[in-house]
Amino acid sequence: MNITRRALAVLALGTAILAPSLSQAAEKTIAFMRGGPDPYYQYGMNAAQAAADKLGVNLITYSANNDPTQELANVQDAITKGVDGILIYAVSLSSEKAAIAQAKKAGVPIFFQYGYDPSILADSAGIMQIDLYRFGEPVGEAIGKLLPEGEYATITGKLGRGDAEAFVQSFKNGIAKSGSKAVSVADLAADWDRQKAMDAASQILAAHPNVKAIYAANDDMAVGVAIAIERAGKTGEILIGGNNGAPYGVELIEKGQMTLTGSNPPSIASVHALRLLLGVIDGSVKPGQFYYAPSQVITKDNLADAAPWDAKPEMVAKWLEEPLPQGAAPPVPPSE
Amino acid sequence: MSSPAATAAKPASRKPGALRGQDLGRYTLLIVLLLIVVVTAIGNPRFLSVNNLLNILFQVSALGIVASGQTILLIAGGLDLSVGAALSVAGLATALTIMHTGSVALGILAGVVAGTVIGAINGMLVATNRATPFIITLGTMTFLQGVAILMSGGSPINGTGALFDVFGLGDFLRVPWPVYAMFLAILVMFLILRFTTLGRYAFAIGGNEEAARLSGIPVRRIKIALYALSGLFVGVAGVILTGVLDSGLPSMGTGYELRAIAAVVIGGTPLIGGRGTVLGTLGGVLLLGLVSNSMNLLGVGANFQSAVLGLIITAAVLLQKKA
Amino acid sequence: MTPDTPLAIQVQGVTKSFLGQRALDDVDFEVARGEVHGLVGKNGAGKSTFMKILSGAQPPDSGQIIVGGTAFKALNPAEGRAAGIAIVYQNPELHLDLSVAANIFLGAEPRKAFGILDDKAMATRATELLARLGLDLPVNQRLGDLDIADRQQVAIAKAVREKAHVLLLDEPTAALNKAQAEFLFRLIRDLARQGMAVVYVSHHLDEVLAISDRITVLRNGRKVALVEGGSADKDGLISMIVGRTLDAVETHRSVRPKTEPFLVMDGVSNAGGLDNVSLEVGRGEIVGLTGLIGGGANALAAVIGGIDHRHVAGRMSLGGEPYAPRAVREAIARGVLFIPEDMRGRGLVMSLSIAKNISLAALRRLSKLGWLKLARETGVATDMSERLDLNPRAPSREVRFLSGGNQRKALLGRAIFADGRLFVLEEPTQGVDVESQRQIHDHLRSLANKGATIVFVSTDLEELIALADRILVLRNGRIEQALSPDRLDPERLLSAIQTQSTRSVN
Ligand SMILES: Nc1ncnc2c1ncn2[C@@H]1O[C@H](COP(=O)(O)OP(=O)(O)OP(=O)(O)O)[C@@H](O)[C@H]1O
Ligand SMILES: [Mg+2]
Repeated sequence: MNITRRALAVLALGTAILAPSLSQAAEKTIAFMRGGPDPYYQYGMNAAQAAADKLGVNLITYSANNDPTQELANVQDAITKGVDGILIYAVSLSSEKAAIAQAKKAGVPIFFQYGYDPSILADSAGIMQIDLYRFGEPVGEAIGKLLPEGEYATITGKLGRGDAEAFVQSFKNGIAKSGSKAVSVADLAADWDRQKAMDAASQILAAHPNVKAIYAANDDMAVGVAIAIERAGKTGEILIGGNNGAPYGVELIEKGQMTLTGSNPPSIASVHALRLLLGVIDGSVKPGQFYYAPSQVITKDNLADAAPWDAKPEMVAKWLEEPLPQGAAPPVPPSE
Repeated sequence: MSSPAATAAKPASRKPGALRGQDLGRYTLLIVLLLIVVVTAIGNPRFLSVNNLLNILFQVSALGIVASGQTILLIAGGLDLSVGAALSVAGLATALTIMHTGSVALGILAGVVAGTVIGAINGMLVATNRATPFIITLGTMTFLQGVAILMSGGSPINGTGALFDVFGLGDFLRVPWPVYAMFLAILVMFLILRFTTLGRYAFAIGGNEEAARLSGIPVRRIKIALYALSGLFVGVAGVILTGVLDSGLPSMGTGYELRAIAAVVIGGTPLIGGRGTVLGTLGGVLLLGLVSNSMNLLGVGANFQSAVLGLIITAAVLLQKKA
Repeated sequence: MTPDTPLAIQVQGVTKSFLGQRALDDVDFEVARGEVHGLVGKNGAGKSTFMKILSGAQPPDSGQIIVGGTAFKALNPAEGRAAGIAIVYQNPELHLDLSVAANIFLGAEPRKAFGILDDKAMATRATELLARLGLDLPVNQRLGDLDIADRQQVAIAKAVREKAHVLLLDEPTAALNKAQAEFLFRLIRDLARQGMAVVYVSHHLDEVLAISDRITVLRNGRKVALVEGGSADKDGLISMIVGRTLDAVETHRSVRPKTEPFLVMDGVSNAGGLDNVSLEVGRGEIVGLTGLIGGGANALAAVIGGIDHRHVAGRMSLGGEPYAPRAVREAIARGVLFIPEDMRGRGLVMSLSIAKNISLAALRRLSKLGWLKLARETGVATDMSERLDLNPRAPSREVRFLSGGNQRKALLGRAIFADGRLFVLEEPTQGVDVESQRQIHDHLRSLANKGATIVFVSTDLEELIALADRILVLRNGRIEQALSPDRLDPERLLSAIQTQSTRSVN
């Protein structure tokens, strides 16, 4: 029958796509899970892959597509598949509880990049994360020093996960810390999206012609902001502060369109997280510890020695030689 | 009249009663499901372990509940795009109520009521306006996404106590509780569609709304009831998902509307309504869950998964249509 | 037909089954150029299926179609069109939002340079074509604004424009009134004279006898007779169609004393076009409504049936109680059941089974606390299929698979099962075969004998005379005449409908 034949054809095609990824048993198999298709996760995954290749580890990649249910399904499936450990960029700051319950039951260590929650730390192989509550602070401080008074605006990411809110708050804390008297005239959300940030920035520029600085909570949005400023013919008149240290952010700094960015390269973080997880598996690292993810402020002056997102294999090899990060006390919200 | 072929032998007649396209169509989905099962089981024997099969059911349970509710809407010629956002709102209602009152029972009630009320409001808007359900519920979807952000204050509402113990961790005879909930939802919808006047009215309205009206069916009231019913299912799914994740998240329902509609359509219910089955929807839901599980077990990399899933959904829908 | 006339199309041994059931069984058929060939048979005999196979809309299971010297095992629609075969369904498949000219030239629009549509040329050529056919249609009018007869003419004009030499007409007069039908016959004869072969399906045997050169009779998918038009008479034809002689006995109306009026209308006017209508209908009475299109018969039925609520003036009462339904279900609650003429658009739910369509207006009686009694529903549907001679007797069959006449019966079954006190029926036997028509009429009479009141709209003059106790002719939204069917013949009824005078016969 025609239909059956067609169904078979589809299946055959499917198998053809699957076949190359059916890899042979390697020494250790690690599941690498990313939250979604964003470049941040992609670069982290690439670096982890390079490190895994060097270390002779078999890395299987999963994506949750920003859906907490899918994330949980991925964890279950990885356990079924029989992986030795799970390295995960969690979708939400707190939905990992069920995931960790699953992993614990199966005795599979699970290491979180992002997603610190006090209640899961003890059962995890470890958690590595930036200090959310201070991530924007150095950026705010630097901008504050350049802008002792006047108007500024902020554009943050998708609300609802907690981080977008925390970044803006920490940026404002930085402004205050620098002694600047600048005031925010607009706080908008642009869902981490370049185009939406461009629209938001255009609106800010139209509504507040005296704005002298704009903070974008990631570099993708910073690019949108830079374009909006360029279109308004105000390039060079308005300071831009970003976060992430993404390749396109670095490029903006090179071109002089962005002042600085608070970098948290996923590449080096993923490499170290992978090493820590492997250490937990072979017993050389104590599980259940918190680690600060590497971060640094990038300006025109230190561009050359900044850790890039798109790390070359040689760079990854160098990171593998570095000492392992040490456990630390987890961050607390400034209010507490 | 002389024509060369006039004297040619008559073409052999096809066997009457042989399995034809119409009949086979019903089994297409089953065949696709089986093929996926076979391919995956060959690729990774663990696929067929009881644990993994239970995992798959657990993973699709909230989707199964939402899709069951959506089935009767599609049958009635309706559509609700706001179910994902409504799921988030219901889940947050549950989490917030538990946080403030400490009562899990009240939390469950809050989530279910929130879902039902949202459904009823959608129903009223659809029943009393000329705009299509697509446009109307696109509007409520956007509105509800905003409501979810406002309710949560932007961050997750953590901790659901006993709800997590039951839906996140608990099982009965090794089967996780959300799986029971899904099958209960499917059973209820099956009974409604097959054995009640409400179900029959849904088919009639979807098949020919004017004929339904001329037969004395209170079309508006039934529409409101159907959207409220679907909303109730969404509320239940919201409660369960909140338990599974031990938190209410403004993003927890993201994408559920499209996956639910995809599952219903893969299951053989056409978007124009008038026909459909909830067992078909179960097939659609299982297909979505199976494909994702299968790719994970076969080690298909994250970069390929979306494309493969899309291919399979498209193929499943096309096979349905042809049949 | 003289045997030396060249054949336009020839069919040998065509067989077609649906769901294991033979719809056509080894049918041979031919039609010559310039011939009008009638095709008759009971509902479900296979006429429409045969026409679809001729046009290429459906493939036969076996057999062959020889056209233009080529033998086909099956035509596809494109090959059918290329071979000069055009089909006009009962509801012509036209584009209501396009103009008359655009419909005629669809797919072959005159173009200027760069492929730009040449609307002017199209309109002129459409006008020429219509004039040649003796048709008077506004070429730039939106098709949806024309009545069904005009639409059919457009469909035929399109066929002629496509240089068809075989024209298939499936129940073209079912929805037409007498005058429109007469016009169509003239058109058909003209076309035949110019060499067009016409295959003509109808349940109106007088028409078929009058217009056909030869007549093929189908019964249960088999060709049972091929007769010369001139040599056949109606009763002979009927017995060939049915397979036995039909006794002319009809249920006699029990003599009814003039009972108290059941439905009373007093000076009703409405936005549907009714103008000061006053009317009394007794319990157990059968009233036929007729008139020219737009005359008000359907508007009156809609008001009585409780589906048009745009009441402007006047009052109505039912069984002595005021009657002013604001929703269809209020009318149904009062025992009033309305069945529309447009069965595909407003009547049947095509995706549901026969049983579910029959029960639709009376689910309350088939349910308890919202739970359906499915076994009873099936029983009821089986019973109703028997009574109305529904074919096939398969209550679970979806109605979209039924033949046109059987669909009409299923729709009527809904009203009968709902068991009302007042039935308002539009064209109750449109597309229904002779035998079934008599059965339905019998059934309605016995309902009336049991006390139900029946108001029906019909354009079928014989039906009006045979079924009604009183015939009301409407014009301009008013009841123009009330006629008694006794000693009334179709010609007099027709002239009453068509004359402008207001003289009452009764
Ligand atoms: N698509 C279909 N699927 C199943 N059965 C079908 C289908 N089309 C037609 N039939 C069946 O084939 C038979 C012939 O149908 P057809 O429509 O040709 O009858 P007909 O002679 O045109 O009747 P009518 O006078 O009522 O229009 C009927 O029994 C009908 O139920
Ligand atoms: Mg027919």
